[in-house]
Amino acid sequence: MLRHYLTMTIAVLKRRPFYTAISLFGISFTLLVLMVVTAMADHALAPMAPESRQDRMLGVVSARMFGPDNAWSSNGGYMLFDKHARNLPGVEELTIFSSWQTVSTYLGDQRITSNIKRTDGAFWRVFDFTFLEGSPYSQADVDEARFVAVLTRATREKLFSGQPALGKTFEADGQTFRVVGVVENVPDIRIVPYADFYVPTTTSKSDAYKREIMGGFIAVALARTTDDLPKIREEFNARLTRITLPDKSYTTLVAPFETKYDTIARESPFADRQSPDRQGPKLTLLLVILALLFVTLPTVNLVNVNISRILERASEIGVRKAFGAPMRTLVAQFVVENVFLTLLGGALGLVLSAFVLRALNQSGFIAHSAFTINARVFAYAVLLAIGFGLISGVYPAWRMARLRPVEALKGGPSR
Amino acid sequence: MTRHLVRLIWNRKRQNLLLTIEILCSFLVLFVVILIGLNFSVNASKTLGFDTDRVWSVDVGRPPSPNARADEAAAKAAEARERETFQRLLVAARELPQIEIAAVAFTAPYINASWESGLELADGRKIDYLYNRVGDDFTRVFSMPIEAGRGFSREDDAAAADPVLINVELARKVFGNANPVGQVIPQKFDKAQKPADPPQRKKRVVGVIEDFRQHGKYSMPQPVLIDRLRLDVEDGGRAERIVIRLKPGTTASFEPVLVRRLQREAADWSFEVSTMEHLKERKHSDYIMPLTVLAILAGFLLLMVTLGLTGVVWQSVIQRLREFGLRRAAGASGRSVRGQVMAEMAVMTTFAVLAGVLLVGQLPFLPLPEDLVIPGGVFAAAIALSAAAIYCLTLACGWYPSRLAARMPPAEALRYE
Amino acid sequence: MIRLHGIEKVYRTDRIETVALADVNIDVEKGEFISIMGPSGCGKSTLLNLMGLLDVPTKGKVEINGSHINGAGDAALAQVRNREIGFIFQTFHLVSDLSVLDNVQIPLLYRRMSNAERRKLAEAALDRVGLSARLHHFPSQLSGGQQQRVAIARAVVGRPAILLADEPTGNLDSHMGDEVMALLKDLNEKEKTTIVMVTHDAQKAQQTARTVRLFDGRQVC
Repeated sequence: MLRHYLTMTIAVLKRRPFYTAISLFGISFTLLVLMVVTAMADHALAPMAPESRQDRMLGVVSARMFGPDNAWSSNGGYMLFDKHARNLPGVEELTIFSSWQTVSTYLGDQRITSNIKRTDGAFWRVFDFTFLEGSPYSQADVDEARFVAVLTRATREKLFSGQPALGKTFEADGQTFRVVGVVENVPDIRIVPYADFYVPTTTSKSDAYKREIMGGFIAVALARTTDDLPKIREEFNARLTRITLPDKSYTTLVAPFETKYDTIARESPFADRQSPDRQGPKLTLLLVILALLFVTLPTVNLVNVNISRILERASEIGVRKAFGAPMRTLVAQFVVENVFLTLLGGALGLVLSAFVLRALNQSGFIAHSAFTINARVFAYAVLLAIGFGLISGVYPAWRMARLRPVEALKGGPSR
Repeated sequence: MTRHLVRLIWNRKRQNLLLTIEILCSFLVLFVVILIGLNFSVNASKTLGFDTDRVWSVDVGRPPSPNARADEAAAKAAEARERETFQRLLVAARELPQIEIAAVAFTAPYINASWESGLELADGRKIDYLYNRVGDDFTRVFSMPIEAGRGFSREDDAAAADPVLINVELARKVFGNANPVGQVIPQKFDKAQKPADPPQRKKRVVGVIEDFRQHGKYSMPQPVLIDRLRLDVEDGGRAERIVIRLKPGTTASFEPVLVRRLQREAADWSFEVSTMEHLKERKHSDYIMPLTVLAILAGFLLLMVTLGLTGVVWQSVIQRLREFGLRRAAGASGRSVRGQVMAEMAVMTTFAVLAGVLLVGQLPFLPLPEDLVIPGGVFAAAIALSAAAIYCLTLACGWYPSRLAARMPPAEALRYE
Repeated sequence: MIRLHGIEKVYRTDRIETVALADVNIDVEKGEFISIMGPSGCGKSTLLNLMGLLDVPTKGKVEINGSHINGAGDAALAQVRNREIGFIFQTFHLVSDLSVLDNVQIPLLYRRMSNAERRKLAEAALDRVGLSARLHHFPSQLSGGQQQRVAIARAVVGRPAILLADEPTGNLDSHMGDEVMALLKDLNEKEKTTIVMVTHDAQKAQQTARTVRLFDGRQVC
């Protein structure tokens, strides 16, 4: 029976190439946009090296200290984590490292700007970087404040023209470092571990950072199991309430351990930065609304085109009905056509999105991005296509089922 | 004839509803893109208030000072040392032959860090403004046109009230047409003051600048108030950067020279040099890039709509060939029938546009932050342009089907099954 | 009033040539009520379409009220159709989404006049056919006979000199059919409208002054 439907479908679609073309155009374009966005989101959020263990990780990226008249937002300070985030229940490893810092290296006349992160030894045990040369620096290196550095491949390219860099030195912001390791590039959309090279925290120009509650540091905890995650959150939030804040004008400090998605949600509009609760659901709602808004126009367009297609075949439907075809088969025929078209459009959209993603990667629009269509994205794509096809097919199918044979023979419903 | 068509379309409203919704959604999509684009171009035509030619900004990063709460004396001493270092940096910069003028500032054009603030006037009005704190010579580094009065200078050292620069917009808002130079801003001061608060000082207008659109030509103009930054007294303000204008002919190779010279004065401070050119490009891209992506998406959506609508109208004409045949028999010429199809599209579009205007007309009544409020003229122009564009789109969709309606000989049309 | 000379109508498709009419000559005088009879497929409707300028003959001359029609442009033909001719169809061809009043006004839309005037004329025409009580009803709410009467009102609203009726009673039962015939005869007697009626009903044809018979596209007897 399905084969019969399919042969009919192909015949029908070939008979009316214009309709087929405009339906495919609309479907593939919509799915293209949705898939590109999905691929980008996946690349930013899904667990992948060097954050393969992301499901067991929580981090504190934003801290907010506020009182009735004042508010201070930044990353947490080193002391906040060093003094209060150690020995949390269920934590296998805790790493404290700096956020964004830009430094300049002058090679002759040329200036090379790099993003650096100053980290502790645990950094390399929490994140799983791929080492192309050498190995990471140890906690002992950090304790001794050795001026060692781990470069990324791109930085090795910039500083040493891609030659093996182990043991070589370079200067940045007036300090000289010796290369002890080279790792694979990290896409800069993965903002937590991203940097151009990594050095020990203790190489900072001054050690004032050690005494700050608010500053420029991020803490990431790797839990033993996923069950330990809520315990980490709660315990740290409890400890925060017991801290004496440095200034009387501030009464509360909010700096929760949260998942990456929640961190991003905290920075989005409509988030409540003064609450330690998860902001993720708000962002999800906003994104769903935006997605629905985007999809509305193509859906309405497709519904109209589908209704048109049905009306065009109204008399054919009427004749079939007059000869006893049950409604079920007529509706099924239409549904098969619709799903077929949608899947075809989806496949087209998938191919196009591969091209678009490759172009995005090459343009360097987001540095070192490697947007791909992996199994996860592909699964989402199929789901989106089917969902889209169903929504745009239900109403026209219902209209068709309501057509009375005599109306159908006359070419459409009368008043 | 119009009334007849309106009645015809109204009677068919159930079938036409989806079509009208589609036109409405297209109108909304067009409107958003046109509104943003028009707003940017209108903003871009207004004066910036500064010139960034040959200007560089040096971000100064220093280790944080001990906290005032913990140890007040140590904090004050560290602060004094910081100010003194900064003064030496400024002197060092001015001595370099490649530098024409140098000044210190909290923030500068195209820099992301911005400070929004506000004050309450004696007559109860609240004014929000963009804030900056700059040293003397800042206005000269950026060749900022001064409409009245003068820029900051040593004359202001002994002033009782705080000297401020305001832009024309703020001047008009606070002083109307009167000359604001030398006047104190009629600010309402908080009677109930907490002991920990710094004393509230009056602000006296020293000069009126044309404008200071920190975020570039695409940003919305707003009132601006600038305080004077002093490195020689306590509470003189915190400088975050040194802005310099270079002598003509200075190249990028000067950058490491500059940095090394500054590093000699403060070994444990960090310096990052950015050219205004680079910052300007990045800032413009922040505005233009999202608009471009939006426009491309909208373009494809509207193309999809055009194709879809043409197909739908085509089908509807075929459904109605008998009606058109009848009208021809009753004396309608081919041209009249073509006109009817186009006119019907126009009437449907009008319904959709009216609904759309009703929807977007709600926007000005929503509570929006100050810098998102779009002037009425731009809003109205965007509505008009979007409506015109949508009419063009729908009439284009109706054009080919209308020819089909007129092409068929009436006798055939009447017999069409 | 209507003169057809040496009329030939041939339909050509890719492979087949169908001769619908051959060597037809008909003169209809002003004020006559004639019928055209013949079996199915003999070309009656084609002949009527040619008289009504809905189609052009392959050969021959058509004259309406003294003016030659051959080679006239679309706009000129439309004008003649609008002012001189009224059409009545077997399947009524009312616009289902328009009220009775709006349907009747259709021919007047293609003439310059105010909306008020159109409304007045339409109401008068509907009164003439006895449907004043149903101005704002829709075709689906009327019986077959009533719908045909609306169609007749539409055909006469512009006071044309000629009425062409293609099987006007074909879709109606005998009672309603008689009503319609009575109306047509009344129009012919009172307003002196020239009426050409195509029918296959010999009884109805007998009620007219003259009958033209067609067989396989040619006139007989």
